[in-house]
Amino acid sequence: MKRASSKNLLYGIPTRWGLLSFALFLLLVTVAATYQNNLVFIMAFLIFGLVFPIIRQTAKNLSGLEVLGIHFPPTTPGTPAEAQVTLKNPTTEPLRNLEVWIRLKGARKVTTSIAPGAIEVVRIPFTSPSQRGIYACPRVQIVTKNPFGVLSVWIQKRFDSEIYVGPSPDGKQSFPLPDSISGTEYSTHRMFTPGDSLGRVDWKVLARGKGLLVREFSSSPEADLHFDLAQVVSENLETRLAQIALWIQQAHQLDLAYSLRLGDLKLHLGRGDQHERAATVLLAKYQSKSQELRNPSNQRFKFFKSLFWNDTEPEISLGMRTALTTLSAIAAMPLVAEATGAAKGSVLFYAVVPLILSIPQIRNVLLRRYGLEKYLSSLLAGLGLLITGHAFHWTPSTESAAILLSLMVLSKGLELRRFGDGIVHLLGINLTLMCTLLFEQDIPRTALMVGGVIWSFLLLKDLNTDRNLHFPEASPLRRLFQWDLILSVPALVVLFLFFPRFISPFSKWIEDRQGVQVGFSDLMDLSEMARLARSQEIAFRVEFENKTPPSNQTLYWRGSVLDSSDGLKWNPISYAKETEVTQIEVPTTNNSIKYQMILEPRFGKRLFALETSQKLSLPSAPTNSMNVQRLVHGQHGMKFPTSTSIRLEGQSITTGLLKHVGPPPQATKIPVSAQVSALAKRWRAQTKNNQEIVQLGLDFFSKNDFVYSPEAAALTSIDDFLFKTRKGFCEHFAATYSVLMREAGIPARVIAGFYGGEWNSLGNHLAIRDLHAHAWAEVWLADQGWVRVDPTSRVTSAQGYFLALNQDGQSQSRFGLLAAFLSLQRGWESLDFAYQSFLLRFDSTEQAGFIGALGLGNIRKHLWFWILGAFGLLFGVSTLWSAGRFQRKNWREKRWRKLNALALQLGQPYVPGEGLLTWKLRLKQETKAPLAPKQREWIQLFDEYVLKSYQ
Amino acid sequence: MSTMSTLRPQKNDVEANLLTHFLASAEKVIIGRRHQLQIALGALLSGGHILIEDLPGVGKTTFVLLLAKLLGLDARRIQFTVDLLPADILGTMIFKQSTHEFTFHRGPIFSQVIIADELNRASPKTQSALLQAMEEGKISIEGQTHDLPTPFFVFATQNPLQQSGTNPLPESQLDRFMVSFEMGLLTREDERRILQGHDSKLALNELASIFSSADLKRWQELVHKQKVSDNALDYLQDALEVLRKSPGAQKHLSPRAGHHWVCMAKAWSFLEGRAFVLPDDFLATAQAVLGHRLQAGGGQGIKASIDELGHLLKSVPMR
Repeated sequence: MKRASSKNLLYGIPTRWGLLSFALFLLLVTVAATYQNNLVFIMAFLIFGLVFPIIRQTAKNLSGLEVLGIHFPPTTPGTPAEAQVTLKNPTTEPLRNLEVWIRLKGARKVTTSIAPGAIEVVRIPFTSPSQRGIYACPRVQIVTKNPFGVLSVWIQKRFDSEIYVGPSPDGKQSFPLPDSISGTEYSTHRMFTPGDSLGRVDWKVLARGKGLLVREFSSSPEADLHFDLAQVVSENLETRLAQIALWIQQAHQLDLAYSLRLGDLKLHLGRGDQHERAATVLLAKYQSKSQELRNPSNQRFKFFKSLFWNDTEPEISLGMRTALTTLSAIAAMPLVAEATGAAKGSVLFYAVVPLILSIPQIRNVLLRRYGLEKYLSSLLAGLGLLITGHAFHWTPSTESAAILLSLMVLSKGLELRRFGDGIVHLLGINLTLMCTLLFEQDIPRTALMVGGVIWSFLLLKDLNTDRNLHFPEASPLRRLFQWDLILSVPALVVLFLFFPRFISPFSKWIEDRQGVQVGFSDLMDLSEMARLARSQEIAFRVEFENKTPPSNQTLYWRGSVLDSSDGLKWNPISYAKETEVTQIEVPTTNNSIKYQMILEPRFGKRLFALETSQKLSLPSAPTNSMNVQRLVHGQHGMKFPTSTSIRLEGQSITTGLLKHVGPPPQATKIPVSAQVSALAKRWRAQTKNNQEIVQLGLDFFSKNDFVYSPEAAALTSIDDFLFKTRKGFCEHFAATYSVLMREAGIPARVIAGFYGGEWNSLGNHLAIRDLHAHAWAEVWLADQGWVRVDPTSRVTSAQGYFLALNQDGQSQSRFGLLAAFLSLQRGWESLDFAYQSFLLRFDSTEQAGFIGALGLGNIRKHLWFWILGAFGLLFGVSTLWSAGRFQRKNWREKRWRKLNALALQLGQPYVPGEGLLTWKLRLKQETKAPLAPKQREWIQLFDEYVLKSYQ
Repeated sequence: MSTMSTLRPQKNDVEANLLTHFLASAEKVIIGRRHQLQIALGALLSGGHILIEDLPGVGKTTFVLLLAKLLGLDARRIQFTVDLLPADILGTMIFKQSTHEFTFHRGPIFSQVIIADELNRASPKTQSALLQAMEEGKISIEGQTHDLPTPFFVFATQNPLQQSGTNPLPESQLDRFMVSFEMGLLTREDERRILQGHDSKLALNELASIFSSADLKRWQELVHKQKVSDNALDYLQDALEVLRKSPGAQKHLSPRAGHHWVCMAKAWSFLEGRAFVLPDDFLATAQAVLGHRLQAGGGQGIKASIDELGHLLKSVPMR
């Protein structure tokens, strides 16, 4: 990625952490496609969208930087030297963690940060080239990974500065003494130090055996030295230059003034550090041309490695650790809540432990003092594995894996040390968030996901910021509220709309889940009824096309047919048997009821439909109903278990019945006691008409003081129920009724499903909860086929229950607070429903329709074209955006750039260090003739610029 | 001179063409040196002291006398020598027998313009006698403070330090001079005219004052009102920071240096006939204002630091 700015061209590449985050994105897309989960898609796209604020903020950390220049103090071959790079931060924000690189032998990168408006000189040590001469300055590269550490952005610049390498001081010729030095009075002696001129050694004193002493002169300004190349006698130029370098070094140490003459190059009399540097420059310049330095290859490798790897990553502060652990605990909450029963307690307890241990004080006392820190996380991880395994009876499943993952992420929170740990932890947190979306997709979880992703984004930024730099921090509120985040929204929308909802090849790997915790299991065991009656969970919700529910008595939601029994337990028709399609005559009628159904994810294959169902399918396109199959007798099922909310379209008729063509089914008798058999025989004796026997059976329940009681015990004996307790609920009535009918010779069976529903007048939908689970009977009548008979409805005490079922939730209670609470609940549910149906509505079918409406063709045919297209579109937009086109620049900068561009066309670019008016004068004087229109335009723009900026 | 004729504000004729008038008169006495004259005039307009550095015989004294004369200021000259004492400059308390009191006998410093000739020949003690005078415009002797006349300018000349028998000026003193410059070599044509017998002494005597100190005061006020935009100050601060942080510039650039630079830039823009300051004005006066402040240790004089300065200013971002 490149970004052109007024001065710098930015290059960018993701770091290894960036690549890891991208892997997370790919994983999310795969999971979303596998589970056909729109929310996971949204999460993936949200994470992808965060690339944009990341690019923007990282680029911002560098694009403003001005590299003012680079300076090399003159040096000698092969010695440690230093490059001085002058940087300016003209912005109002601090620029943090800039790594400055120069490709020179032995150069180390230097990291610096610059306060707003400041100028900073960075000193980079290196080893000077081994040959005397002038060398062109190699490229200066400045890298930043701040503030996220997932993207490396760098600029590179060349300067016309030169490296002057003078000769190494060396030689045998004696120091040419100044003319006047012999006449000057010396005042004192001092010890000889290397580099002193031999001419100053007091040989007489040495001869007297008093040591090597040097004469010090009281005043030496008169002792001017004149060095000339001609003074040195040698064949070799380098040797001669080395001799002069030695003299200069000695003169400098003695603080003598000296002049230098090398052929045409002259240096006037002077002394001091600067003078010595000037002399070295001359020595380097003499008879040498500027040459390019060869890049040491290991430097190039080091540079590219540094783009991906950080050799030193910042440590994570204690506060940061706490924040990270807290976030992982919050992310794990819904999953921990998923665990049930006794396991729930231990899982919950386990989840709290890392949280408590991450409190700084406890951590310090417990871990640091007793040295537990090293082993604790592995210990906790092992414990987590044990607890999860125990809670799920060592059966691997999506759920147990998700909980295990969240617990591992939590315990990983205890070994946060460096930046890398933090990033891995954040990725783990995001995986946990994704897992929660697999089990349920409601508003709170969506909010948790969005909040979690954004929080991790903010934490990521804080992770990498070096707190040791004492720059004034933005206020916490400002740091939290980042406009940049809005940049991720377009990417999210574009990808959501255009990214193809392909079916992942892994879809078929999802195992058939057993042991459903809510709603009917696929076994449709009637004994589940008692449990279901106490559950408020919503099983599915229905929106009718005409916005009003059909009448109370017709709301039978057919689920499963149970036709074989040992008298107490009823078993459903096997799938194999169900799929044998028998001929069913569906009456053609105009009063079909059309409805849309949102199924909560139950990990079952069972589908429910309003009796009598004509059609139930995934919306519109027949190609997509591959996951729905119609079973016999108006039952429906999924080929794969449902792991996400599903939207179905249904069509039913409530008047008239299905005509079954074909032979009548056998009324298989069920072994019963003599008393029961006698009852059935008595009815059969009364009449030959099956219709009348059906009625007699119903009358038996209504006339014999049977009591409807949801709290009744499960059915253990038909005799006890029929003749002693006479207390039960739908299961009891439907099952015993069917047994009696069969005993009387009429084919009968039990149907399990739901009855009624709760009308939500706010959202205009019917919510069917677990407590609406119901069982009823069907009997075969010769000319009518299977007829629905509901013995429970004939029980007098059940009448109230039946009436209340279909009422609006609000009318159930009219008492102040409770009513308000209930209406709040209804409001929330309808919001949730609207939200889900909106999100779910956009499935592959909707997408195909949407793209078709745009006239863009068939998405399924060109799947990869669309996948690549969606990314290509994003990439194009991002490149355009990051090329600075969408960025606001201030007027001065824009005008300055325009002036420069225009001046370049006129052949008179601005020369650094020149005055504005000088520039104008130069441009004006280019042609003596009347000014060209372009010149006039430039002058007009220029005058405006100057007046606006400086007046 | 100005290239921004369209930007020139309407002023009265003399003020608009102040520089032209001034240079025209000066030319009768001094040949060449237009840049030096403009710098010196700028320093006077912003109330600063001037340090001139060059070898003997290049016309330093004439230059200063000319400035004083053109502006109608009275000038006195003090020749600094090794044995000069502070009292010789400031004045002394003398016992008056008739009144039996000590009375203050004013020294040569009580004058609008002081020409401190060859300042660096004097001992440091004597040099420092000028400190308070230059900064505050007053002197203190034996607990009494005496105001100096206004305006008060010090024109110091100094020999290049390689010359024998000089004492380098301390930094504190150097910093008090607003500008410094060298007279520099004449062009061949200009030198020819001198060789042809141009007598500057005679010309100076014949020259009449064209301005008065009241004029000077009014212009000083006008210069003070010159507009310095934030953008211009941005440039100034960038330049100062580059210079302070640049390698090799060991000398401290005081805030006073920045202040002097702004004053000089204002005066320069005024002389150029503009009502506001451009970065150009800083560039034009950089050498004069900073040259003597950036002198590196060892004291090779102004010259050596000038090249460095030009190089460094290239890296100051211009916008």
